Amino acid sequence: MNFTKVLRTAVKSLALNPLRTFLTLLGIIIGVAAVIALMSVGSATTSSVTSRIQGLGTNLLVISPGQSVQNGVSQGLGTAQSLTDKDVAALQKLSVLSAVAPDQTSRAQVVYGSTNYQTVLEGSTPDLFSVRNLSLAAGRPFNLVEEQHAANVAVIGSTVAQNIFGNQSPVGKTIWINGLAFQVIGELTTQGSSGATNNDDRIIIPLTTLQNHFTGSTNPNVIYASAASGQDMTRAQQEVELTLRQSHGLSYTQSDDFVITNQSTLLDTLQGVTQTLQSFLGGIAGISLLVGGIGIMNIMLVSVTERTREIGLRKALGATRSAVLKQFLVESALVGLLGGVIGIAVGAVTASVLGRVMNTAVQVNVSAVWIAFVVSLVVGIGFGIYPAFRAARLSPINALRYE
Amino acid sequence: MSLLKLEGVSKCYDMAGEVFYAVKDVHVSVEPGDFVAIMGPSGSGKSTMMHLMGLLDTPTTGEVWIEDIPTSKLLERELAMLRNQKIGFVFQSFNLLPRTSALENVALPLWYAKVSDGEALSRAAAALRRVGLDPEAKGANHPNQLSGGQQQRVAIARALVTAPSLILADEPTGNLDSKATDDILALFQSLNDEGTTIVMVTHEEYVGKHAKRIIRFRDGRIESDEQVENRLRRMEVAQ
Repeated sequence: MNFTKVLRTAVKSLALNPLRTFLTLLGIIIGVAAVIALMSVGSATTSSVTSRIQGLGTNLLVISPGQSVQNGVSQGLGTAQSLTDKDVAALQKLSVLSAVAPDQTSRAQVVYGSTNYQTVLEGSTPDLFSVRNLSLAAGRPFNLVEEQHAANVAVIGSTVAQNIFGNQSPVGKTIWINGLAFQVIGELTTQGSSGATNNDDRIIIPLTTLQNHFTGSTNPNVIYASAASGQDMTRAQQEVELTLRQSHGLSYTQSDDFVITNQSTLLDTLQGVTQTLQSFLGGIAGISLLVGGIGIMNIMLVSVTERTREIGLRKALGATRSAVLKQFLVESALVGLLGGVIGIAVGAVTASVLGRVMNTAVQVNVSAVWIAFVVSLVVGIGFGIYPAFRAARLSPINALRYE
Repeated sequence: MSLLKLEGVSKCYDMAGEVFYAVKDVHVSVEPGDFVAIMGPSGSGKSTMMHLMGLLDTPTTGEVWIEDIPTSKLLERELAMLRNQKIGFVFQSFNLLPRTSALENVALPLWYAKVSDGEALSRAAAALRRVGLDPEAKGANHPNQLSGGQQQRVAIARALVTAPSLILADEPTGNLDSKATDDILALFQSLNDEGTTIVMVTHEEYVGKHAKRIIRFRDGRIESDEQVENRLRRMEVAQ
């Protein structure tokens, strides 16, 4: 029997029980669709977050205070108040850094006309704009003079501008922050969110102004620094660490009470997290493929039992064991393949719908498609082997006698 | 040379510790041109004989020869090839593949013999014509669109299509009415007249009387083996 004949026979026997065939396919379809959708959405999320992190600023070093420990319980990163303005002054003397921007944040109530709005108030030096790669959609950033004189000037994020001013231009307007009048001098271009933080929902004012009127403290929550060149990131990080250890008077037995992160470590962490997440989701999808495979095996066994007489007849007419084996294997491979192809289509549609909901550009992962295709074929054949083998081993006489 | 020869063939089953002989020490040979009816009451071993002759079952002891080929040492693959080329089967319940056209049912053994598609279909059409079915009119019909007699004709065409040495028929008229029974028996006689060797298992005296030779079984042994006097002859029904 040539292959087209075998294929036609398989199609015919699958078409004989359409509902049963569909339910068998469903197991594979769900598994494959899950793999395709999860891998596509996963890689889309990774690439969008990666590009955002790269957009945070080139050569960026982020220095945060370490964890404070109360009664032996760690309070989490950034809870200690270990960074001071002395540290900032020491860092500014380093030649490996091109700019240093101490940063404090607070929450603030903003009033403009009858509009009331809660947002994040961030205070920093003019260097922040270069260090964090912040560009302005309108107006200008504040300058050193304004920073030194603690001027009441504000650069607002696009979400804030949208919420307070609607479609009006915010530049030149006066807003009230916790009862103090501020002149809006600039608006940031939209950046989008990174993780849970919306980078557009904030107001940036000079650090001195924030310290004088809002926080009353000179300890920065975080220090942003730019390395002079991308090649010197490691050296810059080492020098920053050394300087801060000196400034904090740490002996060599004590560990750092601050944390330095740079883009590459951030990316590494992120990739680690997404890899774990993807392999976890892939594992779940794999389990559903396994269940689908068991479904194929189950139905093929039923099919072999039902068609025992037919198998006997074929053997009487001259079908060899391998011919019978081939017939049933092709049938189960076809189920796997069909389930795989439909599953890929369903997965691609699901991925694009999810992409629209999550507002990220989702591209169906081509390697995932190939993997799904091959895996579903392998599942079809793999779980078809035992039933096909049982069919092939039936003795013709027992098969013909079977009622 | 005999077409088929059984030498000291026994087939026994272990039934709850007790050995049961379905066929015991049978010697028989079938010559070219024979038309043999194997007869006997149910449980006499005639069906087991049929399976042994058709290489569907292997004897516990003894040897089955097909045209001077001893078959006891053959591999499953070689047995399948012998069944395909030397033997044509006709069953009581027709055993046609459902949802498959009559023509394709007939062509099935040729596909297993790896005959090309075009040749298989033209030989299948010729076989259908030989059993009195018009391949143009009935070839595309599925078995459930054919009468019992027509289905058995398709099955006989399938048995003929590989030009086997021997046709083995197991109660070929068991599921047919008397008119269709006569048609099928007439077809067997006319095939036999052309030289086809036929071995037919039946428990009906009337059917057996159409053969040239009757072998009677009782309790797994041959009770008698004789030529038929006053053989019933029927003209093959017009096609």
